Amino acid sequence: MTLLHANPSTSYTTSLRALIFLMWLLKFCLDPIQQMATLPQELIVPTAPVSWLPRGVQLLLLTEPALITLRLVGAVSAILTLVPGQIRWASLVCCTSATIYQSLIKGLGHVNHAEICLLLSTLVYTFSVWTPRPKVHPEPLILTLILLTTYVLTATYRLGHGNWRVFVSDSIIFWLADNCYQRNYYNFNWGEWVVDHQWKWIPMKIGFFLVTLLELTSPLVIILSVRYRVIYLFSMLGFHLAVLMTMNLLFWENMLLLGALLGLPEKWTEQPSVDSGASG
Amino acid sequence: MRPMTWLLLLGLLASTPLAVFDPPAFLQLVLLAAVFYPLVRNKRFQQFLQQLPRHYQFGLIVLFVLLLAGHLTRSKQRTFPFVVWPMYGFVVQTNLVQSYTVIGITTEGTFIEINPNHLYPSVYRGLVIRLKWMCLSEEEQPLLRQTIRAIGNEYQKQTGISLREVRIYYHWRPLGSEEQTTELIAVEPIP
Repeated sequence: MTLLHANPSTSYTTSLRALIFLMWLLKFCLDPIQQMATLPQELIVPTAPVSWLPRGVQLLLLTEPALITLRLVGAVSAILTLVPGQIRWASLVCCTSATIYQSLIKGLGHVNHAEICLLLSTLVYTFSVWTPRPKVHPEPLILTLILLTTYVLTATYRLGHGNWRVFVSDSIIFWLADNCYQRNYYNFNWGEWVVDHQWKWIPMKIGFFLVTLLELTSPLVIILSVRYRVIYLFSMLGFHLAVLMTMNLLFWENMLLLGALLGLPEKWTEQPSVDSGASG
Repeated sequence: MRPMTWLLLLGLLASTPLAVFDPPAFLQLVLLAAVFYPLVRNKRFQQFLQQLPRHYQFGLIVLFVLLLAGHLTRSKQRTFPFVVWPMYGFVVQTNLVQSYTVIGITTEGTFIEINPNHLYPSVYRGLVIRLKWMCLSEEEQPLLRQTIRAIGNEYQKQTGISLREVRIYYHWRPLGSEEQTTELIAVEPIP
């Protein structure tokens, strides 16, 4: 058995860190969060950790100048993480800005899971630059563990709470309809093509069950063969693409993380190995 | 048995109350133990953990305990970013698919469909769900009217098109049927 990211190279670890902070840069630059200030303030109840602050401070953070400042500080600090010598403070400021930003936007009705793995990855990298460096770079494996664990948790919840009935009922078809009949940010609506023809419901339910099994067995990706990893990666990317086309939900952050953590050949990610004799 | 195996067994034993009071959470723990068992038994993974400095080992344990605790306690807002991962994990008890449409009426009287998600891309998922809740709640009608007024104002600001009023319609449709029932929920003039 192998172990993914057992001994990653410094260049790969640094590139992964750069990718994570560049994803935040993209978000801070492109996401017009200051428009939230025009919505009624009662509508937004920030999540933790902003919810731990007094309501007056929360409302101050939801004003247009504060949201623009948050974007600016987040974007500048994300850029500074790429500047040699600036990583410590820049990562701390960017991580704090990203956490506040996420706490605010998740405070409207629904905790969307799209950016959570990215946020947890940022916490890991911020922790790593503030603590003494270990002999190996553990960050890529820790990030992989986090990402895959979130898929496992999704699958175990489905099996624990929904059990077999969630797969044999029309629940997945209902969610398809629920997401594609409603105007969304993305409006691909391939889901209607499934919902409107009942003979397509059974293959959809079988696919739903198979994806759950794949999610459940995610940790095996870390120790099984490269071939299994490639199959897993393309299946998960295909699954995310299918979710986008049918349910209009995009998890581009997870897709990028999956690609960066599982999709690169070992010669690009690992240090040239001196065989330690531990084959596992 | 190895320490990791003992740890897993102890973890399961310690969670016995869950089996009594929250069987789905217990089943989840059993599944988690089963799928992570091959990983924690992997020698190279054990070596990886052992060569980590203490602060990393501690940080890793805290991180995974929080991930698991947030998930098993079905927490959302209070423990963010350590939250429950419940996507598509329950049996839907209705076959009525519900949606809404926001319509703006221009000063010339033209009806335009407004997509609030394009006006507020940061919160598009939350806004969809929150607007649905508000449409169905009597108590939240004043907040719903304030929200569609804000949407109308933002639409005017972003497109330059002047609106006279904004309306929100709610639709119900049985799953697999094309027959739809529509109700006007709120009308809000735009000053």
